[in-house]
Amino acid sequence: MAEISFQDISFSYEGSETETIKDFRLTIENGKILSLLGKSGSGKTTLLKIMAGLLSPQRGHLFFDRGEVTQLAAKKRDIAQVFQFPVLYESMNVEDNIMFPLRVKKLPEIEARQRFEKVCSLLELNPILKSQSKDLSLYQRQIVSIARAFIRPNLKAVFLDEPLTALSPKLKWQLRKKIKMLQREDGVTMVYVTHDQTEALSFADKVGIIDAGALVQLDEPKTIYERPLTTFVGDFIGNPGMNFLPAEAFNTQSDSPKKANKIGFRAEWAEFVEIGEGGLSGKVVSFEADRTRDHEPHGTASIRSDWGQMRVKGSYQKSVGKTVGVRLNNQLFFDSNNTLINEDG
Amino acid sequence: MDNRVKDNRAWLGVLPVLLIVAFSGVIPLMTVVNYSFQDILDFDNRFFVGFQWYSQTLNDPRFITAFARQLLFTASILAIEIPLGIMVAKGMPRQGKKATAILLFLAVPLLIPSNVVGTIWQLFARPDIGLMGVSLNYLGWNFNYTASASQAWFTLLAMDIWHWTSLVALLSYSGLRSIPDPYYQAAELDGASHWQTFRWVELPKLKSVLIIATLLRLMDSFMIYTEPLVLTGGGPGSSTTFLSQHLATMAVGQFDLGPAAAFSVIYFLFILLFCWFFYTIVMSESD
Repeated sequence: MAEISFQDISFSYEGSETETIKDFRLTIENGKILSLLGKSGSGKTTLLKIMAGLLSPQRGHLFFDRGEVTQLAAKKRDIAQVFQFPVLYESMNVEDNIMFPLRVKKLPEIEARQRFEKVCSLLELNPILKSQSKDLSLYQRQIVSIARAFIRPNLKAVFLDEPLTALSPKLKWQLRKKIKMLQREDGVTMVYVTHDQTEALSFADKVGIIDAGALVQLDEPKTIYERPLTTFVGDFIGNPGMNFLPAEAFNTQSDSPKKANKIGFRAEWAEFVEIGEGGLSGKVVSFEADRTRDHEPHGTASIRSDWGQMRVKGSYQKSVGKTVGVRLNNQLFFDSNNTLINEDG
Repeated sequence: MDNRVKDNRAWLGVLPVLLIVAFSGVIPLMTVVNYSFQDILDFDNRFFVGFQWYSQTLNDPRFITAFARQLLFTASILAIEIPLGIMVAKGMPRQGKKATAILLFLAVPLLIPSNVVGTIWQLFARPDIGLMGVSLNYLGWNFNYTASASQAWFTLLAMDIWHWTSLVALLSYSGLRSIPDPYYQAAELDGASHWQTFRWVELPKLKSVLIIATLLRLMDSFMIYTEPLVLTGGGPGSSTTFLSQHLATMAVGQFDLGPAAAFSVIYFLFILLFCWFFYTIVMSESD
């Protein structure tokens, strides 16, 4: 268990001119789950490899608690990693696979056995302990990889690099629950890299949004969703992403802050009203119902207004192609650099 | 209802292959089997002798020593070439121009015909003008492979290792290259030592290529003929006379067709048996 902090870390791959990671700063609290969320190629896996010691940054310092580990070899860092695709020792059975890190570390047999039984019962691995690795399904293989990561006692941190990518949604959900259980059991610091926002938001204590090798926002999932610091985060998080319209669109109803360039609002922060009532209006281009509330179809409407496209969630019973009014109940303002304007000051 | 038109003429298409296989494999083999049960004095005088040539061959001390020699040779080169080949492969860079250069360099010995290899080493090891022979004498080892059985063996093993370790190295290299990085990274994070990484990550992945390498070297070395013939001529004495050369002496030199045929059949069965044993043992382990 350790607090992990990046201090101005920069990294570029050999032969590449651009820096994959640029002056990166981040502190991961001890014992918490942090999700690193970003698009493919944003550098999140690189960050994980730097923490694990599989890549060495050209500049900057990495600390585990107070100790600098920037140049420390991976095997001396006391960390474990679960990879995107399960990595097993193919010639060993499940039990030997899971026990391997403890045997390498020469942990006393009794202590090793206790750890082993705890992890296996949490992950419900007992029926397959004697199976050969090659006879396992993809899901089972990944559970075994996870067990091998979490079995080690006194880990500084566990890193997971999109471990659920290859699984079906139902299995993803099961495995996510199990990973969280394991993390709670030991209170180990965990970093979870993913490009799946549902996964990140539902799972983590804090979410770090990574874009082009830099940390854009680090906050609790709720804050990330409700107060994205940039339009990028607003657009990237949420399904659908945040709506952005030019600030003038809002000025027709009331005044926006001086520097405001754009207004942003979530689809559910707006509602349908009669034309002229809400200040905004537009033509419904499409409507996707997801459920029925009070006998009215409820869903997401795509609306084309004079200011641009927007999506609004709500009950809608008219047909597609009609013009409707839209009222905003809540909105955020962004300046010309696409950064959130803090209304409190 | 089967409405398809039956036309067995298609079988005629197989005929050429059948003929080739018959003439290249079945008929010669059966001729040998036929000879091995007869005493052939000349073209018109031949007698059926049953298993006489077989029991004679199996009890012949020259056959037994040649066979033992053969086993020793094959076991020695396998024991050296397989580990050495793996080590060479492990020492190679994973990619880049250097790797390509080394691969080309490694392939050179494999492209040289056997009798040329024999000639190269015959010259190379000569104590009067050969680079190796002269150097070894210069270093204080009284080296003359034509006079000493152990030195003849040494030269022969060196030659075979030079000739064929590349094969094992190339096969192992291709096996190692197919291991994805996360396997190494996981082992490193688990704290595995170099040896443990080799034992539990690399060796299991190399298994199939090593089976092929071992089988190829086993069969090939068991049939070795040209190189020792050129290098040592089977000598000094008969200290480097292996099975093939012994057989050639019987069949071509002494024209003992019956015993030579029996010898051939035994030889053939042994190789078959060896490979079968090796293969079934290795395969049964993996299940």
